[in-house]
Amino acid sequence: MKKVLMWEFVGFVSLLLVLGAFSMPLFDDQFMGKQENEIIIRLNAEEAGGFMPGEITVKKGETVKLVLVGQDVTHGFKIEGLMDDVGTINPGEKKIVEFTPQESGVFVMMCTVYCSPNHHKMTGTVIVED
Amino acid sequence: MSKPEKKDIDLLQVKGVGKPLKRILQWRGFHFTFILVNLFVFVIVLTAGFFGNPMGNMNFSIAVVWILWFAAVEFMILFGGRTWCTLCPLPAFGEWTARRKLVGVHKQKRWLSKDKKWPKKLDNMWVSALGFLGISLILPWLVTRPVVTGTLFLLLIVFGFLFALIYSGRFFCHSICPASSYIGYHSNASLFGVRARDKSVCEKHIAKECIRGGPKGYGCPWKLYPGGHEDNTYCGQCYECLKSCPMDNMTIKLRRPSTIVRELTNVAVKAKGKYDEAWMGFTRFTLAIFYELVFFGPYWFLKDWGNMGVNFGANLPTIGLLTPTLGGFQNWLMWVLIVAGVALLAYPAAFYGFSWLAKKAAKDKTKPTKQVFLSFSYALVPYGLFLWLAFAITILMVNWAYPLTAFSDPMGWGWDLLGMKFAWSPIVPDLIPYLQAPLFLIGLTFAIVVTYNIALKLFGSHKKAVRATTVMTVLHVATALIFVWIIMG
Ligand code: SF4
Ligand SMILES: [Cu+2]
Repeated sequence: MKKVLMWEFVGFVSLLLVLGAFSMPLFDDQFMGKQENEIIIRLNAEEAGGFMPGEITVKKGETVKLVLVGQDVTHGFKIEGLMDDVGTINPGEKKIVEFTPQESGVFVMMCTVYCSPNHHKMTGTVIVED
Repeated sequence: MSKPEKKDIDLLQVKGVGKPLKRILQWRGFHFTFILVNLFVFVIVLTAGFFGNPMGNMNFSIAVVWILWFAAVEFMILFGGRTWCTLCPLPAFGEWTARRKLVGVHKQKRWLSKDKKWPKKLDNMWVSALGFLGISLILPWLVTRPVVTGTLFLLLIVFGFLFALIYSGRFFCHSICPASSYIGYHSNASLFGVRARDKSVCEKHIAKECIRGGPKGYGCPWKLYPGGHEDNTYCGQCYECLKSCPMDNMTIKLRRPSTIVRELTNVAVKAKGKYDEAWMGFTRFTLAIFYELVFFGPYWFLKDWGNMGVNFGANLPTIGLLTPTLGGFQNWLMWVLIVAGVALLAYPAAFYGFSWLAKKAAKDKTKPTKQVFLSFSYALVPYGLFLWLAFAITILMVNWAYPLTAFSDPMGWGWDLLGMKFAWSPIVPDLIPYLQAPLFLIGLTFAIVVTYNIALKLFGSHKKAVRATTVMTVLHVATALIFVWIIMG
């Protein structure tokens, strides 16, 4: 009898472990191997959510790396007044760009490749704090 | 006159393989362990389907389910019958809950289930077969929109659970699950079969633990009499009978082609009123072409119609992208009419016409055309299966990179967990037709041989059988040619 119960218990615990895979999205940063000074931005067509996240905050004078991940179609990327066009980012591609903001304020990031009928709306906010 | 039949291979008595295999199958943790592994995969399917990258080919749910799993099931059918059903996690929650056990055996009286008898009207594969057709009608969505795939599997799990709490055993698997019907139907052309070693032992053994259950195993959850198995249609290969049988009389048979033909012929000749199975055959057979067209076809407008005018992939947060336009919806209705019309009406009508002609050609007056039609339809068991194998090979060779990459990056978010990133690069695409052709031909030959054997049993003479078979062969060859013609564009 004891042995039977033990197997049920072992089964139950392994079942819980397997169901734990539902939490996979929570480990995004770990699975991306994100570093301290990195910010991950995913690029979707505007209809499918656009920049994710759509707003980032960085510190003046501190160097940050942006990890740009193409999700669905080919996009481009620039931050007006902070960063020139970085070229195309294909779906599945990861592009890492570095920059050090010199003045504080609010800036606009935008897609530079015609990616969908709503391409011109594909924008986001970059806040540079003091 | 008949030669003594050569025996099939008793897999559990094969030297070196049989003993360990038997120990594994009789181990109570076997079923649970395999289900658990696949449950893990399906948990990822659900998570990625709802929250992963909206682009289908970069999302685990699409890449693994509609490329890897879908193709793998066809091969499992050929080599292992309902092996997928052995591994399937979808009904597991219901089964565990009802039994109140994950691994061990529990008395049925104390199950957490109403244990109702199955409704007679649903004791067939109609719901399942029409479900398969229904799913195929939204195929262009299903195979490109993660959230649609996620929702489908979530629904299957929920229904599998609910049905287990109401009806006793695997009612959901037997009659509802949309994959069950085609897996079971084609399993009759499988090399594999769970059978009794010696039927006379079963006949004399009144206790029949394989039906009632015993201390080591449950009674057949699919409500069959395992000892009497002569076909594969509804054997879910859970191997409970291998555990419960105290006479050690249940085993796995590797069936020779001659056995497959003989057993299938018997199924076909005995099929009275089994229109569900006939229409399953028609649906699967004709859908092979539509799947081929949706995945690889040259007609873009057809995919467009199926898409309801929607151009985006979608996950749960972006599910609004799936709102169809009115025009798109109208186009989709055309697609539905074409697919369902061919599968449910046009092809069966042609089949009926040819069966009538075959009967005429055989100059038979004893058998009703209905019966001839029903019996001959079982030629589609092997024919359809080999058509789908041809499709499965193509899809694997063309799209293999997606599922492998998806294991490394299930959400399609740019992870690389296993260090596997592959670009889409079909393997020897020029050679694919040369792999498909032999499968087509094997299927066709198989169909003709089965038709002849059925005709021989129905009409009683070689001469009549040859005539009837010739007529049916015209149909089978003609459909093959139409297929090739359509695929080539
Ligand atoms: S016959 Fe045996 S293997 Fe088949 S469904 Fe029944 S118990 Fe399972
Ligand atoms: Cu863009």
